[in-house]
Amino acid sequence: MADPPPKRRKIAHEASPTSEEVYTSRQLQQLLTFNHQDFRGARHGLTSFKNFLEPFVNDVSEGSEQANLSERKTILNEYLEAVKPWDEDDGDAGCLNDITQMWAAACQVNNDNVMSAAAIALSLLLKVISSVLELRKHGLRICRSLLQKRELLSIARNLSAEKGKEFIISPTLRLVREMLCFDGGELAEDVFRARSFTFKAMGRNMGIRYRGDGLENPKRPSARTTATRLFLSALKFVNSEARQELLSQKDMVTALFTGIKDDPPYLIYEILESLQTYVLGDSKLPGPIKLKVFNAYTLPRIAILYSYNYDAKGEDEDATVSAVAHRFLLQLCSPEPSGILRPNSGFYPPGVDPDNANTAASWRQKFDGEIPVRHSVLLGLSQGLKPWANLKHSELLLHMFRAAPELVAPYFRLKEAFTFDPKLSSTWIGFSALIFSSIQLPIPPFFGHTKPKCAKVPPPTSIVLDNLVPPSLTQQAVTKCLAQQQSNLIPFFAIRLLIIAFQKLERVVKLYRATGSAEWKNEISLLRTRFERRVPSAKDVLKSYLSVPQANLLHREAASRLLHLYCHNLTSAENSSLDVSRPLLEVIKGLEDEQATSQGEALSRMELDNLVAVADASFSIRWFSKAGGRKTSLFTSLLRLSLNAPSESLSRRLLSSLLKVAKTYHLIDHTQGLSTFTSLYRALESLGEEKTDDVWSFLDNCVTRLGNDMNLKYFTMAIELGKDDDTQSTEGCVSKMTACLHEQFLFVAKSGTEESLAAVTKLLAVYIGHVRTGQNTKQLDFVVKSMTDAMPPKFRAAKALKKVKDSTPPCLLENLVDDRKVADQNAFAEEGWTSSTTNIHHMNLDDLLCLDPLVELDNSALTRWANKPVEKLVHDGHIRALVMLLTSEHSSIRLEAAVNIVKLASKIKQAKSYLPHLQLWLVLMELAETVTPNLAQEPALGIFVSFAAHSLTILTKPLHPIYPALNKFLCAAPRWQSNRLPFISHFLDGDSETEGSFYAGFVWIFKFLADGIRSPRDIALFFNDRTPVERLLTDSWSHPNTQEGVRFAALGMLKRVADVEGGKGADLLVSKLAIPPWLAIMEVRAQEEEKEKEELACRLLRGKIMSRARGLQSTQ
Amino acid sequence: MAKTTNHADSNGGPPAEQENKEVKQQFTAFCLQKATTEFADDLAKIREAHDFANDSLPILIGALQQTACLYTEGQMASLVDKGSDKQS
Repeated sequence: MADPPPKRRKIAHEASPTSEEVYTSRQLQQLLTFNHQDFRGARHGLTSFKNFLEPFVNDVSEGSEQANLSERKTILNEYLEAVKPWDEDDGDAGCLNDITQMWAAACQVNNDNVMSAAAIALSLLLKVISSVLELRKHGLRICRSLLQKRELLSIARNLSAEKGKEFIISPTLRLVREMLCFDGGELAEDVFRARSFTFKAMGRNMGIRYRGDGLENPKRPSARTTATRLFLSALKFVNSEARQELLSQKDMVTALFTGIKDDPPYLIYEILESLQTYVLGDSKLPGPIKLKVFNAYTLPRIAILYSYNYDAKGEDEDATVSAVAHRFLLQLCSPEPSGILRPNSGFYPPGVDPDNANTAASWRQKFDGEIPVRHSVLLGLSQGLKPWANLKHSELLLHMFRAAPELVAPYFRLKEAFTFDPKLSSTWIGFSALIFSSIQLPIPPFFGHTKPKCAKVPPPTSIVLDNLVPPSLTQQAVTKCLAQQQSNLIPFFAIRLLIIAFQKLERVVKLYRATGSAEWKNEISLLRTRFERRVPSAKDVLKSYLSVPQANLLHREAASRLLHLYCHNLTSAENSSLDVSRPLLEVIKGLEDEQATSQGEALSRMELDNLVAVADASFSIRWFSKAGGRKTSLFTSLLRLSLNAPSESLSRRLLSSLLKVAKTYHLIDHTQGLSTFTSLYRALESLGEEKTDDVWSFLDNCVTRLGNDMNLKYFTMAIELGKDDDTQSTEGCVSKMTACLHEQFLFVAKSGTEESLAAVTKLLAVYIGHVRTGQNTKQLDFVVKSMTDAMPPKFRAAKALKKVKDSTPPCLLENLVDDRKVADQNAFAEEGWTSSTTNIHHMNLDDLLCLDPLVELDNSALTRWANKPVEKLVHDGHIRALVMLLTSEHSSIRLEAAVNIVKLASKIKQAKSYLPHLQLWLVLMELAETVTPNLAQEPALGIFVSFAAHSLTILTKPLHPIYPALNKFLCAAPRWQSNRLPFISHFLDGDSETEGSFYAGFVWIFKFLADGIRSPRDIALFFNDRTPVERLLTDSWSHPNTQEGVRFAALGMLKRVADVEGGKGADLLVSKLAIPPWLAIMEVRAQEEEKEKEELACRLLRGKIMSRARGLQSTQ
Repeated sequence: MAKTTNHADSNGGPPAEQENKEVKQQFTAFCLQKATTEFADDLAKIREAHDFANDSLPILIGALQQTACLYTEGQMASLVDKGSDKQS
């Protein structure tokens, strides 16, 4: 039997390391002596050395072990003393030569075990030495010797070992780190300077991760952990310049963040803390270097830590990786030096010069599409966040918006695809909350202008709008939200967003106004128009409001508030026709029922305030009709509500609005209105519990009458009251309210019950007692007498009418008006308007209306023209002076003037080189033709002469808006109709090319009439052909955007009519055109529109007309 | 150190400011309570929505509390006063 084949000998490729216990320094020295190519022995020695050192770094607490350690320290000290170079001052002399020789030799033959063992022993040795103060010198010496060429080559060789040989790489990384950190980083810069060796393959090594499941064992850190720690230590110990160099190593910086989400928590903390302290916190580090570190690649990787998976269970919320990363990112997104944000220009995109108005046109409308930003990295980061689902994301994004307002508009433009279509989900709510907070953000100081003042040019409209209504809030989507039937929350959230947007619009408009610059102010209307295009229509909001359940007071209040904001900020016709009568009545009913809780009542009252404000601005409200089966009109209901409420909770706005309505609908006039309304209010207050339904019904009847029949009846009645009783005087007359109350009382006295008569009598007694101030006392006496007479003789309460005197303190209404005045003044002061409004109260009417004095006749004009060149005749006023002589009271001068005019016309006609020669000839000849027939008997009509004189200037300006219309008129007939106002009907019936030319025509007509109306004959012509004038006046005020100049020109003309000698013009203005009431309405309107100058002009002119008209009547 | 400063701020601020802060807190609580009553059905639906996660509840509460920002300090005070009147 053959022997079985011998067993194959097992080849041990890697013999397990051997070691021995070290007892003396001599033994250690022998162990570490390197015999040529004896790598086994070398490994034995190095392993023994490692085992000798390990107890130093392990925790030892027992007494015997402590003693052992002390013994080992002595051995180590002796060994280090023994191996130190003979010449200690020789810097180049090696230390631990045996070990480094072993290492270098191992590197040459690729002996991995010795390469690893040498690095392990040396790193451990340095670690031990760094904790023993007396060994410091040895440590430094060893570190320096390791920085010599041969040793550096060994280090580099180890570090660049194959990726799989972590057992070589990791100890070497530890060794370099020990060298770098030794003695507080004494040699850190030397180590870093040798980075081509010491940081060899660093980027790659930082990527050698733990390959198992879960996290690595902290006691056996991966090469990545060790390399990262080395990198962070370098960051810590090197100076700023070296730090810049280190941070410029792109491969290392990239490797630092790559896969950070899989790092253990302690490493992430170390990374973020080091970056915070040594990068963000290093004020010497230039901004661009920081931006190199925190770039489009690295930032999203930090943001990934928000969803870190390996936090220890039960970890404090503030100490989790996501919380630490969040805090880090918040600091990162702060302005320099603590963050990376450079100064940004807010609403102005980078690269534009807002102080250069000349270049503004090239960029102002350029940013409707993409908007460039300075912080594109942050914009990129923001796009990766999910602020609607994560609170920290939301907080970070808003922090970024606050620090860099330039990001808001581009962020939402890029998010446009993220639809806001209504959906009752957590995401929709979160997104809605984000948009709300974004709109709520403060406006950057001076809109982002770098200087502490507003720039010459406002920021691009589209960017401002994006900050008011982010593009995600499309008109379509928000309208859909408002129309949701299945949900109340979605419309409520949409309403809130619109409210906050409107509130911000108001702030922006206020700031635009405050600049005082025309460029900014002109932008306001554009901003409002484009804002209006982005939000749903007011009717959609109203519809949504009407569908809110009665019990949802918060929702109802918000919706009514939004309607108020629409009316207040957007003056489109639609917003002026919102009919809120129904909800207004519902709220009044709810408040009267007093079923709500106190807070509910307060909310309802706010809702009422909002609705009243909407109603104020609406033409559709029927204040004086008894809708919804109510006993009294809306006006009276509100008055009743304001009186019945406890005074401390009385809504000031409610009373203020009632006063406004009373003025608008002419229940009261301006001069006596406040006293009338206050007297009525006081009378009602004084009745206390006696305010019976009879009283309210009587009062409602009166205000309804005053409100519905345009006051003309009571206006006349107020003047006429007691006329037969010789009460004519210039003291003023009673108010219309008094006239109406008087009239209606007579009916009550005649047919009312005793109770109602008693209550109404008491009301009127107090009213008349209060109203005496400022009204015609004789007329009031007549009123009292008349009412007393009308009462049944046995009814003794009549005496009360005479007894009550005005001795009560000022009531709330008066305080209210005072408050409003103060508030107005504050608003003006805030807007810087104080200086421009202080003088107007001292101006006379002519100055206010900018009326030129009437041209005086100059007889020398008859001959003066003859020597002048044709071109100068118009511009120097020679023709004008000549034609005005046609109104001279001396017939000879008039006739001579007519002859001269014909001569002059002929001269002009011959000057063919002068372009307007034919038109000038035509107008002069037509004037002559029109006025000559009666010139011998009476002066020419001022209106015709003035028309011709004013036409001259227009005819020399072909670009003037009314040039075409005037030429057409002149070509129509050879003479003007003597019983018609020239040109006006022709102009009004013609086709005006633009609205601008239309109003320019108005101004021109008013001015030539103002200059032409000089005599009673002009007045006769003016009122004979008054229809076109009426139309002119109505049109001047009908359009809300009519320029102020048009209205002032109209008032100027009326003033001249009233000025005409004898007061006939004023009288006819009252009787034929009913101008005073009309002026009163215009005055209220100007007051509402805060046009103080116009309001004052209307008031003064009305007073003038009234006094001149009465003057005429009294003389008759 | 930081804690000491905060402490000083919270007690040492002007009384009016402190009062405003309290009013705002009370008013925010009122808004939240009112909104949860008025929109109870909708809120229940949101809590059942598929995307309702850990952070959704605080986001929802924060969103409802935002309503307080629509009101001026005066309006807040008037509504809060009403509430305390009722309690007294």
